Amino acid sequence: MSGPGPYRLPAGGRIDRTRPLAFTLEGRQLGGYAGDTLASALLGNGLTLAGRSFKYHRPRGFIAAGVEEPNGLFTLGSGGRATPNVPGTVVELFDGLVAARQNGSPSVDFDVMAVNSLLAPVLGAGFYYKTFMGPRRGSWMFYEPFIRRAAGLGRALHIADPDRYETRHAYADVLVVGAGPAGLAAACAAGRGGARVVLVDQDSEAGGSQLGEAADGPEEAWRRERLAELAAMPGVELLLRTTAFGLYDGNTVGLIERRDAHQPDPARGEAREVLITLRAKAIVFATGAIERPLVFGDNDRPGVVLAGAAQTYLERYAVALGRQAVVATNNDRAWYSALSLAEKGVGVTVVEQRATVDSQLLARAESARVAVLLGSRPLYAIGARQVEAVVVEAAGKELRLGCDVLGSSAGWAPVVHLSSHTGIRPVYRADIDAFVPGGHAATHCSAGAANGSLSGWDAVTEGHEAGLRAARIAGHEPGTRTAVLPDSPARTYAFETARIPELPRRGKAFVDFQGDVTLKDVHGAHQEGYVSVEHLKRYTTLGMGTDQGKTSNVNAVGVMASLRHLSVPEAGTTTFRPPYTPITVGALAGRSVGHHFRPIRRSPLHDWHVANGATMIEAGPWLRAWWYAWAGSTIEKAYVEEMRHVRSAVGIADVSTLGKIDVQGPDAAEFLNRVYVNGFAKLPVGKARYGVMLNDDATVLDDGTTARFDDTRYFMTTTTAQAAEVMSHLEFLLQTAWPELDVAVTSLTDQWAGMSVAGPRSRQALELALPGHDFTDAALPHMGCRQIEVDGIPLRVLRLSFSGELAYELYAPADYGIALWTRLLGSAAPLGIRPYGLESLASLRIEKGHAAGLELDHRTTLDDLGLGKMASREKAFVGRELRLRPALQDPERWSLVGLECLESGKRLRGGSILFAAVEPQKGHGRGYITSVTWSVELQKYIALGLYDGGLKNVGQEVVCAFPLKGEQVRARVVSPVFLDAKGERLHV
Amino acid sequence: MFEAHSAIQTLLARGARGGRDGANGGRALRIIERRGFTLTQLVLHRRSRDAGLASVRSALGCDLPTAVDSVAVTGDLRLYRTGPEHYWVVSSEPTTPARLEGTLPGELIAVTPLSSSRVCVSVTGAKAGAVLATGIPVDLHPAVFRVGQFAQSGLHHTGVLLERRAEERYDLFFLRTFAATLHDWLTDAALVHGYDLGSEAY
Repeated sequence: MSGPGPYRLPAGGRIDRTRPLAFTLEGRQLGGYAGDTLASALLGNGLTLAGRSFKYHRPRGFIAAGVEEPNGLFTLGSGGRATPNVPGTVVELFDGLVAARQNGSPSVDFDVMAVNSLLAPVLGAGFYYKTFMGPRRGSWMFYEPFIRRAAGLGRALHIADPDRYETRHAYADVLVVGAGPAGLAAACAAGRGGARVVLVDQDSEAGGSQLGEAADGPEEAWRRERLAELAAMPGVELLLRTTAFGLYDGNTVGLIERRDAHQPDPARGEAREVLITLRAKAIVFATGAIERPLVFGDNDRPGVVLAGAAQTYLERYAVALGRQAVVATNNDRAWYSALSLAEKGVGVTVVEQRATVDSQLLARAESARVAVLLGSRPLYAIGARQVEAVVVEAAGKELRLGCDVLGSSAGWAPVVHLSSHTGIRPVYRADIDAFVPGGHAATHCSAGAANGSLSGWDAVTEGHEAGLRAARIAGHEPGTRTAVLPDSPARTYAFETARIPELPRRGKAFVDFQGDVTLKDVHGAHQEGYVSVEHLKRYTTLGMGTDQGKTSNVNAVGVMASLRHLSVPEAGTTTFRPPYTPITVGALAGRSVGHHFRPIRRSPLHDWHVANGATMIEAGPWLRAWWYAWAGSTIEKAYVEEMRHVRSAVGIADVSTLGKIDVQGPDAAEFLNRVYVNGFAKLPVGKARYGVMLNDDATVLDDGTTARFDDTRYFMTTTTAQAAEVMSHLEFLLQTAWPELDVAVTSLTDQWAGMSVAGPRSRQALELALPGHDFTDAALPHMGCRQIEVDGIPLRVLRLSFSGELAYELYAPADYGIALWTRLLGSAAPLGIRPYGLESLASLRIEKGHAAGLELDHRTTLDDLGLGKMASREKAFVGRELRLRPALQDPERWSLVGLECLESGKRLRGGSILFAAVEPQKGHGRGYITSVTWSVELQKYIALGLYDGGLKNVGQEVVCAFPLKGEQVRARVVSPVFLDAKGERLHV
Repeated sequence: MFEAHSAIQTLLARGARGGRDGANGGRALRIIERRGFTLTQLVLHRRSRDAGLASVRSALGCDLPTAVDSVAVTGDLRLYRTGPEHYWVVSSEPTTPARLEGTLPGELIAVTPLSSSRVCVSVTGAKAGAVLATGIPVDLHPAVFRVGQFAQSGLHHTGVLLERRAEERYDLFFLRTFAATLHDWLTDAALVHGYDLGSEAY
């Protein structure tokens, strides 16, 4: 190729020309090599247009060679694997890679949205606060869909991602972040003493800044020696393609390891990304520095790049970005870039802001035939899709320099993000016009360019010292060897702060490329009063793109400070927060997707239900049998049939999910007495008692029963939903409120399978299934309990009822749950015993007026539920005092009532708002329905609810309103005990 | 006779060839349910601690462990200190819980049989540690988590007791009602390495 723009050199670089790779860009087949990035391969093919800018849709090219790239964002892959907004400069090229540029319609090459450029005057910072506001209120919603379509860069997907993402925990004595010169030195120093070292680098190769240097020099030899040294240490782990994205408390660092280049196959369990939570004893931040550009007119033209990037493309990827280069700068480092270009045959002119420069550099420039203009700076670039020239001011005169690549450098900014994540703000150093770490925790340190050490081999010596120190913090003794330095002359970093850019005579001067924020925008924001750096950022969106302002923040702060006549430290900097570079949601989710999202609990009887016609339902963390096929083909039919069967014959339900707690100890009785509102101090052996527990604020926490099986052993049951909460509550009381009580509580929920045998034939069922044991009313009265042994297995039997029928709860050790269940079903088959599920279980108790979860919503009190008489007057219990607050004793509070539906053909609904029969239906009404069921006994819909004044209203008609469906149903207030008010069924 | 039914026996029976090959075609792990162990929790009542310790010594023939991270083994018994005054006694002898309930006085010690409350799963093989590290935040380096040590930690939002039985064998005690979901998690974690499934005596 002989035209302007980038081209591949026939030799050199670190790419492997023996491994050519094929990839596609928007369907077009292109070639590259192993070792290329997508960016270098595109540039090697002569393609400069990397995308269109955010607002103005200006043609843009790559300006960087690393993570700081703001312009060249691509959508990679296709289908569910497509990933938008990936900088082409970090994509490791692999065979078959599919890529597309973003933000051009219909394409980046021919983008109609470029017309936005004409609207530039209207599209300044904050334009959306000043436009699209009229002509009427609500006009914004007319414009919104158009803006939404035009906004953004890549597109998010709505199809499932087939890839697999993994997570893992890792531990290290020393974590070294960054495998450049400082990091390599640190890892070697720490590893020598036997420390467990993890060295991470976001790149696909270790070396950091050295990868942008000549691939055959003495520095390369040093790099290889260090890597060989590390490979020989068994305690050292090198993680490449791994970004440390966040620093958290407890020396915990979040890492993401990317495996795209290995083309993982999710069907074989191979993960695309791995999120690593690493806990280290000591951390060395060797995160390097990022170059920032000069700000001048039309500095966003393709071909205008960071000076160091021009060098990296050349040395690492053997891609020359042009044939005629101008390098505009204020520091020595860019001179080395200029020399590197000149050595490879690029014509170079250096435009240097400083009036004087190191004589050795000048001599080298001369012998390399590099033209030099001192005391000069760029004013504006010329060119549209490709830079053609730059107009500079040199010694007071304007000069036009032809070029097809323009490298600029305003200096290097240490990467302080990670070390600042826990809140230590970076501090400004005027000598390099950059921010450095403002301090470190005792177990952290920074080394090298990350620490502001930009000249000589300071990076290596600092890294070495940091490694030694970190190893010692971790308890190892790494010895006292001195650092091995590369065998090449150290580079200088003489520097002069870049002049504050002026508004350009021609073109737009961009400060933030990705956000399309210009110098004029920054001035405008200042004029409008957005003077604080936090406001500037948010109003202009500067630094808020996916690149997080890596090439723009420091420049912006400089401009802002000068506008406000402050020093840079006085102007301040924004807060650094994780992630350092964008991370995928997939990596955060890991394998916790689909049915792995959260754990599911199964009853010990689960396998039987599934094999015997149960429809299962998720109830909180549990999977429960909802209804059985024997009872009907739909839930509506089945639950009613199951209810009918229990009330007329006998049913068996799985209640294994109830919370069960073992309470033992010399003070067990006293403890129970304090947590329940009713008396438990004198519960006799062989008896169970219903109890209610309150929260401190006197709302009801839970209800259940506690049974006493022998002198020292109590067996507490709780509701399913509150089991964990009650267990925590008991532990909390024992550990903090009453540590003097000697009580041990242990969860038994997993230990025992529980089943309820209920119905008029339930006693007979037990007698048939467990012969030889006495279940007569005398031997096991209502609320009695007994532990028996059957075939060597201990079983617990309690006679208590949730349904209102004669009933028993049986508990077997979970391993034998199915055995007991099937024995009961088998032996009692002649009685017609059938299983019944959660729906009918929850409905039977409504007929009996038992409060359950829907009534115990942590807003209701004992008195609200009609249980006020249970509260003991003699003893102290949790909630006693606050229960007596006047508002909680108000007789007009909404309290528990029953409701009968008065309109046949209509149904009652849970959540319905209750109004008196003749009153306007406005506001919150006088109460609401909590639970509803079809009553087999009464052949109508019934409900429990809370109503203003409660049972004083028995007999009155109310209206149940369900506004979501526009329904209104008349009902009558009745006692919540719909059947067997005297409890005759329980006492047979 | 009542037959025991394990929480994961249906899952283990499922799947052709008792396991799954990994990405490289082989199976680097064995995931085995260990059945038939007994588990009894002992909690010493604080006021009578010394008498309780003496009682345990005479019933077990050994002292309760004092270290919080090492398993004490005496004959058939494996003893774990799981909390202040809290201990697990694990044994393959089926009469152990009844024996302890019968011989240890309730006024001194809260004895709670918990054999059904846990499921024990062994993960063995060169990749055992790597697979467990995907979910358990414990440093499994052999110099840090040595053979004979145990840890109480979390896995997939549930509590789990993890024991290193050998260089490449970890025993996990899951809560029974979570066992199926955790087994599912474990086999998914082991997918890339390939695994054999099975059930063996403790």
